[in-house]
Amino acid sequence: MSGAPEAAAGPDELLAGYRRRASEEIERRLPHGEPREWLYEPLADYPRRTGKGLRAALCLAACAAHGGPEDDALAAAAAIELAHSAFLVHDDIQDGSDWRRGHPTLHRRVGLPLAVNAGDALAVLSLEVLRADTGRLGRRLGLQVLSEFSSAMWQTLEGQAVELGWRRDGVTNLSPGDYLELILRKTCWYTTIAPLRIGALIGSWGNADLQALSRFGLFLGAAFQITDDVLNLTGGQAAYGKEIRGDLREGKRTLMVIHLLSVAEPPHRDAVVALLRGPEAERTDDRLDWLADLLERYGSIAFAREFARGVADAAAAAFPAAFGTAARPEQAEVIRQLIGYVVERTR
Amino acid sequence: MADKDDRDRSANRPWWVDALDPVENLRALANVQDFGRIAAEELADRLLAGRDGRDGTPTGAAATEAELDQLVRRFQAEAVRAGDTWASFIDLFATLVGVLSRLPRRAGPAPGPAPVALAATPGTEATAVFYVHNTSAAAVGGVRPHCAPLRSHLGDALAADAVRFDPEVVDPLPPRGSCGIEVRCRVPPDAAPGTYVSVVLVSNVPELFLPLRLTVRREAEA
Repeated sequence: MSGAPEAAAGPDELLAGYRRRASEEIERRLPHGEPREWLYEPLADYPRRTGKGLRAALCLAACAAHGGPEDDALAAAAAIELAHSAFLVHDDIQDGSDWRRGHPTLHRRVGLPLAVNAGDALAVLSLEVLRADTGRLGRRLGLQVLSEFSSAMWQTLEGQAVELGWRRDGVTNLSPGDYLELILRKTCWYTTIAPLRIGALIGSWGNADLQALSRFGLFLGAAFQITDDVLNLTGGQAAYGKEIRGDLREGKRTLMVIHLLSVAEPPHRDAVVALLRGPEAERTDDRLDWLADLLERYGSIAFAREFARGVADAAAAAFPAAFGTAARPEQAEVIRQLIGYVVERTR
Repeated sequence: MADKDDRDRSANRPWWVDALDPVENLRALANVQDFGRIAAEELADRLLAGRDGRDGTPTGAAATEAELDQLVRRFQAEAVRAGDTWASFIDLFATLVGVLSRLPRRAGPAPGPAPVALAATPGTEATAVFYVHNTSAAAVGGVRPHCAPLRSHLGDALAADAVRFDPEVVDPLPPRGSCGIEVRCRVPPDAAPGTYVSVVLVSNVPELFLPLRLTVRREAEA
């Protein structure tokens, strides 16, 4: 099975198609057995919750654009989604989040120790899926894919460490450049760059132009993450699936917060810094209402929206170089459609 | 990519200063998209340039070269695929040889001692010699060869006394010593032609047994 989805379909329908194929592959790869209640059922929880399917779409479409059958990249797409689930389980624990994709987070459902263990198991499973695929891809290409995968995972872990470190140590003197570098590591590598690079490697049998893809992937991923931060403030919980204002409660240094700290009058700025550096218990609903109001009044939300559109423009400008030398560039049309989607989406 | 004005401005001070300055904020907000684009491109230039892969996007007049490059890359891809296939084949073959070499030998009769073969015509005698070895460090006494009556596949039998051994007994057989024993087989005049078999055993040498095969030929065949 291969070929680009119907060109007339919108991004949501396109993503749904890729998401369904990746979900079927993941379901096929999920292990079963005992202890079912304490390991295999919690492990399968997040992979079975409906996500956006962005990573799978980028991986499969990049494979097709570079001349390979999309099915060749299905295992890699499944492995990336499984690693994403592993990160989400641990991320929700680190952030103390209550909701994920419209349901209670795994650690709220099964308890902290079992959730940590399930997250570890998901990370191992993602590697197993890739290792099992090495025989089919051949030793050389299989090792290339594994190397790309582990490199992206390291970038993600480094980015996560930086963000957690900012919060633990009360770092607030940050610029938008610091934020962009953070999300390059924390989000872009495993959300957009690695799926594109791995899909292209498989499709071209190891001969794709990875640098141009990385550049495009960085822009697409950054636009995606900034929009995600905005939706965390402005979206509806039912559609967004996570706690609204969860980022503020957790004290995250988003682009909007960095903007606010730079433009706010000194009394406001000092109060925001004190709130961010204080314990999470002090960030009550009333204080978060006040902070959200400041972000609106100082134009920080509008700033982030426009900033994301500018980054999306950079993605559009980088698109021809990223796919111009691909064997079947027409198959990358799906990816081009995602540029507008990541900044205009509502979930 | 950023235009020259943007580059010049960013060379003097950070690109985002205008956007974050309270006084300039409103004016700058109109250009936030530009700031976002420039910021992202600068980050890509700084962190991704030269990281890996090849650069360049052949277009326009270079279309033929691009097609050629594309063909070369596809050829390389197929060559790599073929190389991987051969490498996998060689690996599998080596693994197969290794597995086969570790398989236990198929069970079956162990190769036995060579039979003592005799041939004669009715009314004559045939002789052969076999050796008994004492591989131990002690002398063995009462070494006496004997055998059961010879039989053919049709049930014909030659009496046990048709076979004699010389010497009849070896006593003692010295440590690590050997002794040749002659076996004489007398074929009765009325013996039917055919192959008769038996087994020679030796008292006090339990590990030794020797098939004894006597072929009785017609006189005309001899």
